[in-house]
Amino acid sequence: MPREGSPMRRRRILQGIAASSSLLLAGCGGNSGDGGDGSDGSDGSDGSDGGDGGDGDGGGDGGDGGDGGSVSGSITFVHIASFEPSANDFKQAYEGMHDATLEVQATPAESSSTREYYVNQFAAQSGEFDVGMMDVIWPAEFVSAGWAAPVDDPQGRTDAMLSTPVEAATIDGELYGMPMFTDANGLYYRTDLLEQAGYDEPPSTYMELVNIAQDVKAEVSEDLNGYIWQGGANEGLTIMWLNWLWGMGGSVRADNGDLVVNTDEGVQALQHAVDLIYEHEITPESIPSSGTDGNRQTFQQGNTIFMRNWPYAYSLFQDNTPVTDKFAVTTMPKAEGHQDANNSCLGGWSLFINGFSENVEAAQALANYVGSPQAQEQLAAGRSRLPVREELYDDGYWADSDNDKPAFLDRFAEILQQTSARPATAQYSQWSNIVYTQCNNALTQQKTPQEALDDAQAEIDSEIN
Amino acid sequence: MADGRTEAGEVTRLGEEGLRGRLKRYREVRLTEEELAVALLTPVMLFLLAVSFYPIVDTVWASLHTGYVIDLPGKTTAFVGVENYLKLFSSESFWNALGVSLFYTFVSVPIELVFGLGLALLLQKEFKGKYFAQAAILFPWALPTVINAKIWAWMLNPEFGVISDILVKVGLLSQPFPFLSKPDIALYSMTAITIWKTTSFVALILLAGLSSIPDHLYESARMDGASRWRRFRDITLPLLKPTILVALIFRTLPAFQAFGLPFGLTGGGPGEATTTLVLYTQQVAYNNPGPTGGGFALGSAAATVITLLALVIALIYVGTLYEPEVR
Repeated sequence: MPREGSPMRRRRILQGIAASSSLLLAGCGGNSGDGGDGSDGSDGSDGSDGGDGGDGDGGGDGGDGGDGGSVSGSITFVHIASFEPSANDFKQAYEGMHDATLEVQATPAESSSTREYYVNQFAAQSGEFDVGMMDVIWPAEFVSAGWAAPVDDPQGRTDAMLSTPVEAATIDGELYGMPMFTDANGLYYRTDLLEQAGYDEPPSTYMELVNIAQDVKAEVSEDLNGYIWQGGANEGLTIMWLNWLWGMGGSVRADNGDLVVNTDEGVQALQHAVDLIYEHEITPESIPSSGTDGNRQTFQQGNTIFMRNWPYAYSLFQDNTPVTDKFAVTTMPKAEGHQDANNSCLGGWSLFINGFSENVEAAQALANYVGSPQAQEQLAAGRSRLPVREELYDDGYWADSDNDKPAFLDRFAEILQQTSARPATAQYSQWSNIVYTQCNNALTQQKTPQEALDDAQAEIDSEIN
Repeated sequence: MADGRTEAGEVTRLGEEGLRGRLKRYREVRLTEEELAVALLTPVMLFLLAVSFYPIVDTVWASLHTGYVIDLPGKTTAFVGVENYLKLFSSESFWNALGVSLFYTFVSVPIELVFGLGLALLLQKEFKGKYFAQAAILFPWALPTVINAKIWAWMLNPEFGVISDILVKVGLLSQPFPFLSKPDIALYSMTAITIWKTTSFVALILLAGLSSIPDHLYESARMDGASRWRRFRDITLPLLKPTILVALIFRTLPAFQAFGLPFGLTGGGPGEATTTLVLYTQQVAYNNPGPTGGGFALGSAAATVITLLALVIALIYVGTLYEPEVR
C-alpha cells in the first residue's frame, strides 16, 4: 500500500490543488476501496468491490458476523468532546472487525458549537470527516440541506430499539442516523437534606417542590440553593421552558402546524420560572447565566437541594464527591392537576454519515456497529449512557452478561417514559435561539413573560412560520 | 533570484537602455531596485488579494443574495439586491448589538488611553526591574482572549468565584453577587475586563512613542523654567500625537470587532445585553444557514456593515488627528 498521510490532510491537498497533480492523485487512489466510487448507494453487505473482501471480519466478534464483506480504507469519526472514551471504544472494536482505520477527532463539548463546526464543514462541502454525532434536534435541518446521507440498516438494528430515538432520526420514512444513546432529564435531589426537614418523598408537583425547598432552607440553612436549572441564554433554557410548558399540558405546535410560544401555558411556564427566582426565592439570581455543566458543578459542591439535569451527572456524583450517597434522581415534577403530562425532554445522539464523505461504505460499517448489542452494552455499563436498545432495560439481558446492570438504568427508564421531543423543524436552531434569548430577557426582568414571548412570537412568525 | 543587484553605471531607462539591452539584462537576472521591489511585492500582493480582498468582495456579493449563498448542487441562490440590508436594519437585535458595540468601544478606548499613558510615563522612568515590569504588564494582553474570558467568567461566578468571595469577606457585599446575570452589570464587567486586558498594549505603543522624543527638548524647556505640566502639555503630548493615533486605531477597531470576550464570558447574555455586532453576526449566520432563513446572506450583510463602520471610524481618526508636519 502506498504511503499515505492522514486522510484529512490528503483531502485538503486534493481540494486545494484539484486535479493538477497526478502524482498526488496516484498516491491517494492506490488505496483500494477508498475514493468516491463506493458511495452510490451500495450498503455494507455488498462487499464485492473491495480488493480484500476475503479476510472476513474478525469472526471472533460474535454477534456482528452478519456484517457482510469487509470494508477498507480510513474514515474519520468526529465526536463531541465528552464522548471521547466511547469514541476510543468504537475505534478499538471497529479496527478489530474491519481492515479499515477509524480516526477519531473531538468537536466542542457544547452541542451548538459542534453544530457550527458541521455547518462550516458542509459549507465547504468537505469530506474531512466521514461520520459524526448528530444531536436529536438536527436531522430535519441536516437532511433538508442534503448534508446527511441516508443510513442503511441491513441487520435491522433499529427494530430492536426504542421507537423515539429512531423516529427522531427518520425523515420522510428514511433513516438518516443510527441512534447511539438517548437522554432524558430528571430531578436530582439531596435525600439527606429532605430527611432533615422531615420529607421522605421528593416533590411531584411544581409547588410541592417550592414548598419543600423553602422548608429545607428554613430548617437546614438559608444559604442553600433551593433549585438550580439551566437559565443561561442557550439551548438549556429552551429545554427548561419546554419542560414547564409540557408539565402544564401545553404544546408549542398549533393545530395548523405553526410554532406558537405565547400561549397561556407558555406564559405561565415562563412566569413560574421567573417566580422561582424573585417570588419564591429558591433559585439563585445567578441562574440566568448558568448552563448544564455549571449546574452540575454547583450541585456537586453540596449546597444545593434540587437540580434539573441529564443522566451523565449521575456517574460523576458517584466519584467520592460531597454529594456521593446523599442524592437521588426522580421524574421531573409537573404542574398541579397534570399528572399525566410528559415533562422530560428527549435528548440523545445518533451517528450520521457526512453527505460529502468519500467512503460511505466504511462509514456505514461503523453505523452498523454502534447499533449492535455489544456496543450498546459497553455504552451503558462502561460510560453511563442510556442505551437505545430496548433489551438493555430488562434484567434478563444483564443476567447473561458479564456486566452488572447499571443502577441508573431503572431510574431513567421510568423518566424516559415521560419524555416529549422538541419540535422537529429544519429551523430548530433559529427557533430555539429566539426562545431562549427572550426567556432570558424575562428571567433578568427586562421584560415580563408576556412581553418576552409576544416578542418571540413576532420573530417566529416573520422568520419561521 | 540568483543575482538581484543593480550594477553601478547600468542604464535603467528603456529609451537609453533599448529593448534589447533590457532583455539581455533580464536574462542575466540583474534587476533595478524598482523592478526588484515589484518582483518581491507581487507574491505578497497576490496573497493579499486572495486571502483578504477576495473574501471581502465575496462577502459583499453574498450579502446581495439569498439562499445557501454557498454553492450546493441543486440548491439555488437568488439575487435579492439590498433586501438583506433592509432586513438587518429592521431587526431590533441588530440595533441592540450596534449599541452594545458602540458603548463597549467608546467607553473602553478612552479609559485605556488615559491609563495606558500613565503606565507608559511610569515605565519610562529608570528604575530597578524596569524591563521585568515592562514584560509583566503585557501578560494580560498576551493571554488569548477566550482564555481571559473564561478566567474572568470563573472569577465573577457567584458560587465559586474569588471576586464575590473577597467582597463578601471584607464586608462590601452581604452575599455573593451574580455579576454576569445582571444585564447592565454584565456589560460594565465586560468593558472593565477589556480595559484591564488591553491597557498594557496601549502603554507599550505609547512607550515606544515617548522614547523617540529627543531629550534635548526637555532639557531646554527645563532651562527655560517650564513646569512639569507645561513640558508634558507642550512637548510630550504634541509629539506623541501620531503615536496616540496609532494606538487609537489599533484599539478602536478590534474593540469594535470584539467577539472572543463576549463569546467566552457571557455568550452574549443575559438576553442580548452583551451581544456585540460581530457576535450577533456570527449568531445570525449560523443559526439558519439554510435556504429559507438565509443566515449566511444576512450575516454577510451584517459583516459588510461592520466593515464600513470600521472604515468610517478609522477615517474620522485619521482626519482629525493625522498631522504629517508634526515630524
